[in-house]
Amino acid sequence: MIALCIIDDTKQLLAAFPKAFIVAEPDRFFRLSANKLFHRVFPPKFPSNIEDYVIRANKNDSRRQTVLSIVILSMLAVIGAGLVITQNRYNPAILSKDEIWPSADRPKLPSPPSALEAFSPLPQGLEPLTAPEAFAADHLSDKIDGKAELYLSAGFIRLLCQRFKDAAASDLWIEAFVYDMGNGQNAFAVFSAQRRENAESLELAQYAYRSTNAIFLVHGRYYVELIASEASDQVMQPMEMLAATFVRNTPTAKITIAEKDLFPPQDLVKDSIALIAADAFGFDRLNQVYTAEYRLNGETLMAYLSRRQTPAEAEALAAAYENFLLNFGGQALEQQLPIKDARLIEILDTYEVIFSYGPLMAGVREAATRDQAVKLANQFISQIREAAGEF
Amino acid sequence: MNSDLNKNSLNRRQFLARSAKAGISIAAACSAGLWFHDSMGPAPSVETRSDAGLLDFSMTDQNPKMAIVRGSNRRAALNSALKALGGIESFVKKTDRVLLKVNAAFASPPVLSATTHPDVVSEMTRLCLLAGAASVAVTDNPINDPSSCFALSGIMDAARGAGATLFLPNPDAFKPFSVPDARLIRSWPVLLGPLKNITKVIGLAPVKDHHRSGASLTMKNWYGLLGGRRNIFHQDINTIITELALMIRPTLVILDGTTSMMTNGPTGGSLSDLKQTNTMIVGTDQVAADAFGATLLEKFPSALPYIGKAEAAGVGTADYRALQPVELSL
Repeated sequence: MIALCIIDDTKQLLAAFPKAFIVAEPDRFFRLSANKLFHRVFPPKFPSNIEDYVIRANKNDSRRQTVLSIVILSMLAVIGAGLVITQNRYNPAILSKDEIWPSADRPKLPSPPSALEAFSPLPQGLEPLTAPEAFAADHLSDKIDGKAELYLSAGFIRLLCQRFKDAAASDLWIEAFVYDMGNGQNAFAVFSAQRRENAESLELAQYAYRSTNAIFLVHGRYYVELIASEASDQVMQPMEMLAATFVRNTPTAKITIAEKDLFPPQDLVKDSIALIAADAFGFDRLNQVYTAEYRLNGETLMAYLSRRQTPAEAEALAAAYENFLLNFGGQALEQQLPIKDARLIEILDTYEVIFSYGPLMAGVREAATRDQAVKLANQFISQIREAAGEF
Repeated sequence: MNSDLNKNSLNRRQFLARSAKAGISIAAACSAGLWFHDSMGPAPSVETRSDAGLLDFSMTDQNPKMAIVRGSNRRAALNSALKALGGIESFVKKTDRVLLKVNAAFASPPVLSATTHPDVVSEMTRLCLLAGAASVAVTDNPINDPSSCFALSGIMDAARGAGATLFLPNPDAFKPFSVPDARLIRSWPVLLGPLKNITKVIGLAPVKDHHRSGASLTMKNWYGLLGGRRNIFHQDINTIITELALMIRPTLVILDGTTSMMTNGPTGGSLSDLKQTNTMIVGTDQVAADAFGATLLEKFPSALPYIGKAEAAGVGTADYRALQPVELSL
C-alpha cells in the first residue's frame, strides 16, 4: 500500500516539477515526496495548485514535526512498557548475588506479634540465643525446605521463629516456630497433618500435644512448634511455660470445626480427625478434606468428607473421584447403600465408598473388606443425616 | 516561489555527500549492533572435569559396588562397609583433594537426624586423611544462615575437629551451570566454588522422609549444591533429583540409616518421627543406594518416581541386588 502511494505520488510530482528542479534541488523534491506520502496516510485537504501545496507544506512543518514527535515518543513509551513487562517476568535463574545466597540481614517483615513479644516474659533461666527471624511464603523453604509445600498449600502467611537457650546449659536450646496460617482451619490442617502417634495431649491450647522433646499446638490462626535440642524433663518445663505465655499473650478466636460432629463417634480412633488442605488421596481436585480413622475388628479404615459450595459441586466431585479411582484400576461393585448415587469400588485389594449428601462429598476408604466399608458408610450416612436434622 | 525553493538549496554533489555520510552512519550503527549481538546468550562459565560437561568424580576403572552394614555404631559401621569394598584406599589415593557433601540443611541438633550426623562427618574425614588425602573439605548450601546450620547440627565441630576445612557458601562460589539435555538445571547457579581443584567427591546423607519427594536420600542430597530460588523445583521434584544425579557423579555415597526419619520429613522435629533402623550403606551407585534406602523407610523403590527416572537416565540401577552388595552385621 505504502509502496503504491510512493509510486503514485512520485509520478504526480514528476509531472508537476520540471526535471531541472529535481536535479537542482533533489532534497527538496524528496521532502515534498515524503510530505505527500505523509498526507496520504493522514489525508489533508490538498490544494490543487502545487505552489500553494509547497507553501502550505512549509507552514505545516512544525505541525508534522509535532505529530511525528508524538508518534516517536509513543513508540518509545510502548518499547519502555514492553521492557518493564519483560523485567517483571521473574526468571529465577537470573539473580543478584543476594538472591543466590540471601544475606542474613534480610529485611524483617512486619510481624504482630513478634516472636519475642509473644513469648515474653521468658521463663527463668531461658534467654534468646538468636534474633527473631521472619519468613514470608516466597522464602519459607529457606527455613524448612521441602516441608514448605505443606504449609503453602494450607494458606500459610508468615513464619516467625527464634531460638532460646538455657543460660546454665549451653547445649540445651529450644527453637520456637510460630506459623501464621490465616485462620484456625488452616492451622488445624498443618497441625493434624503432622500429628505424632501416641503423643500426650495437653490442655494448654485448643489443640496441643507433646512428644519427648517438643510441643505442638494450635492457637487460633497460629500453629506453634517448640522443639528442644534434647529430650529431658529439664527442657519440658520451660517449653510448657513458653507455650502458655504465647497463648496468654496472643488473643484469638476459638476455632470451630463443625465437620468434626459429622463423623460417627463409634469406633473412631481418638485424636485422629485431620484436615488435608490439598491433593487429598493423590487427587488434585480433592481439597479441604476432613479425615477420621476408625478401628473395626482390628482393622483400620478411614472416613472422609469435604464441604463444597453446592450440592451439584459435591456430586460432581464424587463422580470425578470415582473416575479417578476407576482410571487407576478400580472396579465398581454393586451396592445397596441407603443413599442415592453412592458408589462402592474395589481398588488395590481395598474397598471404597463414595457418596454426596447436600453440599458434602464424603466416603470411606482403605477398608480391608467390603462389609467393613459398607458398615462404616452406613454409620457415616446416619450420622450426617442426624446432624442435618433428618431424624 | 523560486527564491523560496532556492533558499537552503543543495546541489547534487552535496546531496550525494550527505547521503553517503548518512549511509555510512547507518552501516556503522548496524555493524556495531551485529558486533555486540550474542546469539548464543551467556554460556556457563565453569570448567568441568569431563568432556561430557558433568561433574564426574566417579572411579571409572571400578564396577559399581555396595556394602550394607547393620549396627548402631556409625563409626564402626562405616569402617566395616568401607573395608568390605576394599578399604578407603580403593577410593581415596594419596594427594587426593576430597570434598564431603553433607546435608546441613537445617539448624537442628544431631539428635533430630535432619542433617548428616557429626560422627559420620568426622569418621569419614579421618579415614580420608588416613588414606593420604591432601585435603578434606566439607560443604553444603543450607541457604538460611549457613553458619548456624553447620554449628548447631554439630557438623562444623566434627569436620574441623577431624582435620577438614569447612566451606561455607558465599556469593562468589556460585556459577551458572547447565546439565546437558536437562530441562531444569540450565544456566542455574550451582555451588561450584568448593569443587575447584577437588579430585574426589563423597556424598554423606541421612535417611529421611520427604514431604514432596517421598524420601531424601543420596541423590536428593545434591540439592544442596543449588543456589537461586531453588524452591521452585519442588514443583517438579522427581525431575530435579534426576537431573542432580546426572549433574554429579560422586566417587562414593554414604547413606546413614542408623536412625531414619520415618515421618514429617525433611525437617522432623520430634524424636517420635525417628526410628532406629541401624543400617549404614556405602556404595558407588547412588541409584542403588537410594533404592535400598527406600526400604528403610518402609517404601518400595518404585514408590519413589525419581529412582526409576534416574535409572532410566543411566545414572545407576534400582535393582541394588544386582550389585551383589556385601551385607554385614556388627
